[in-house]
Amino acid sequence: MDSETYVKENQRNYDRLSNLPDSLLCKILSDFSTKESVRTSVLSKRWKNLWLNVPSLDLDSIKFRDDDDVFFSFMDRFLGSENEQHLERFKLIYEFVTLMFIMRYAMMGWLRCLHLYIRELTIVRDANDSLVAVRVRSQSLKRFKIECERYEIDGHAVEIDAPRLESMNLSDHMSEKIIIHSIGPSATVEIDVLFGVFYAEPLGPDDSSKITMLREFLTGLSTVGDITISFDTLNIIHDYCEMEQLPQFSKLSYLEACFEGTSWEMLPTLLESCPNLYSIILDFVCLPETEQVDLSLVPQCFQSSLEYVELKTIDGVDMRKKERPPRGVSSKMKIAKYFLENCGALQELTLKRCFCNIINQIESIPRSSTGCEIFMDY
Amino acid sequence: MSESNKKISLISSEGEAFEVSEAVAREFEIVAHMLEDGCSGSSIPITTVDSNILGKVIEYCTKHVEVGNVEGNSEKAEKDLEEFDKRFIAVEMNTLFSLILAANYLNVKGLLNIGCQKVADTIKDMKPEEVRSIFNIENDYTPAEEEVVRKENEWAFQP
Repeated sequence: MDSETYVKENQRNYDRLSNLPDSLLCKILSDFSTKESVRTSVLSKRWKNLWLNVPSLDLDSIKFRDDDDVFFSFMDRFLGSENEQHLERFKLIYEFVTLMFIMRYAMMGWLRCLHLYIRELTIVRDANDSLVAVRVRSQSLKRFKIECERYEIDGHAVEIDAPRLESMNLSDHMSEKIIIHSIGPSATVEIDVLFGVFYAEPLGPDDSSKITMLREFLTGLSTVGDITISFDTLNIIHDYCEMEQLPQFSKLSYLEACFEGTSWEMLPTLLESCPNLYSIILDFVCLPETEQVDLSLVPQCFQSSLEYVELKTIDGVDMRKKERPPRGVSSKMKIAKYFLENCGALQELTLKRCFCNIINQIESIPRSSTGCEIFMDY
Repeated sequence: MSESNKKISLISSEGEAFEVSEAVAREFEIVAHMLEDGCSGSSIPITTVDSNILGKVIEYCTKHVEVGNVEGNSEKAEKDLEEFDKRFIAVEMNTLFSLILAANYLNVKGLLNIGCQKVADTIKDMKPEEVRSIFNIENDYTPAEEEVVRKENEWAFQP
C-alpha cells in the first residue's frame, strides 16, 4: 500500500463528524428537537455537552411525564448559566401543570432574560392550559405565531408589544381581546381571529366594546406591509365597515384576502383604505349571484400602484345532479370587470381555473390599462 | 467596463487555477470581503480546499448565480434549484464533510445549510449505536459513564 492510499484508507475510518467544530455541530443539532439533540450526548465524550449550546429550544413538556422537577432542572440547565448562547428559536408545547411553573419561572426572572435574546416565538394554546393572557413584550422578537387549540371562548386576551416584529401569525378563534400595542414597520402578518364573536353572528352597534377593540386592532395593523386575512376575520371587518371607517393602511403593498358569501361587497371600501397596494390575491368562497353590489367607488390604488391582481374561487358541485351549477357567473364577471375597467395601473390579471368558463367574455372587457395582460392559471 | 465579465482565478491547495466570473467568486463571502477590502489581485489562493472540492463548490455557486440572474418564472426556477441542491448534496460521506468544511471556510451560506441539513437528516431517527457505526464515532465512555449520561437526561431516552 503506498502512502497516499494509506492516508485515504485511514480517512475512510476517521470520525469526520465529531471533528467538525462546535459551531457546525450545533448548527446540525439545531435542526433537531431538543429531545433528539439531548440524545446525542451518549455518542461519545465529545458530544456530552454539545446540546447545551444549541441556539434553539423545541420541546414538548409531555416528554417529562408530568415530572416537573425533572422538567425544571432541565430548563435550569439549558437556559441557565451554563448556556451562554442566544436562543434563536423557542418552541415549547406545554400542558396545564407545566405552565404554572413557567409562570413561576417568569417571576423568578429567566423569562425576562429570554426577552433579551429571543427572535422567534411560537405558542400553541392547549385546550387545558390555564393561561388567561398572552402578553408578548419584546424589543428583539422578530417572528411570532400563536395557534389556538381551545374550544371555548373564555375571556382570554392576546397582547403584542414588539416594535421589531417582522412577521406575525395570529390563528386564534377563541381569544376575545387581541391588542396590538406595537409591531415592526412594514411587517408581514397573517390574521385568522374572531374576537370572541360567534360564527355567523353579525357584529352590531350594540357591541360597542368590540367595535372599540376592532378599531384599535386595525389601527395597530395600519403600518404593516403585507397582510393575509381569513374569511372569518373579514366577515367581522365587513360588519365593522358598515358602522365605522377603516384606518388607512398606507404601507400595505400586498394583500391576500378571502371573502365568504356576499362579504366581498366591501371590496371597494377595503381597497380604498390601502392607497399604495401593489399586489392582491382575492379568494371567494361560496360566491353567490348578487346584483346589488355597488362597485362605483374606484379606489386610489387603482390609478397609482395596483399592478397585480389574482382572482380565485371554488365552484361547488351539486352532488345529486352530479354537475356543476354555474354559480356566481355574474359575480365573477362583475369582479373581473371592476378591475379591468377601472384599474389604470394594472399589469397582470391572473385568473384561477374556476374562471375558465367565462374567460372569453373576460378577455373582451375593455381595459383601462393598455399594458394589462390576462393569464389563466390552471 | 461591465464588472460581471471580470474573471478571477481561484487557486486550489494543489495550485490548480479555476477561472470564474467575479459574480461567482463573490458567492464565496470570504472572497467578496477580500474584494471589498481592496484586494484587487485577479488570483486568489484557497489553500485549504483541494481541486476536487473547490470544483464542486464553484459548480454550486455557478448554478446559483445563473438561476439568480434569470428573471421571471421564479417558481419553476426555485423548484429547479431545489432539485439541483438535492442532487448536488447526494454525495458520499467523505465528500459531504469536505464540502461542509469548505463552505464554512469560504462562507457559502446556502451550501453550508444544505450540507448540515443533509447530515441532520442522516442522523435523525437513528439509534446512538447506528450513528456511531455510520460515522465511525468511537464510544470513549465506559459502560458506567454512559449509564450516568443516560440517567442525567433519562426523559430524552424514553420512547
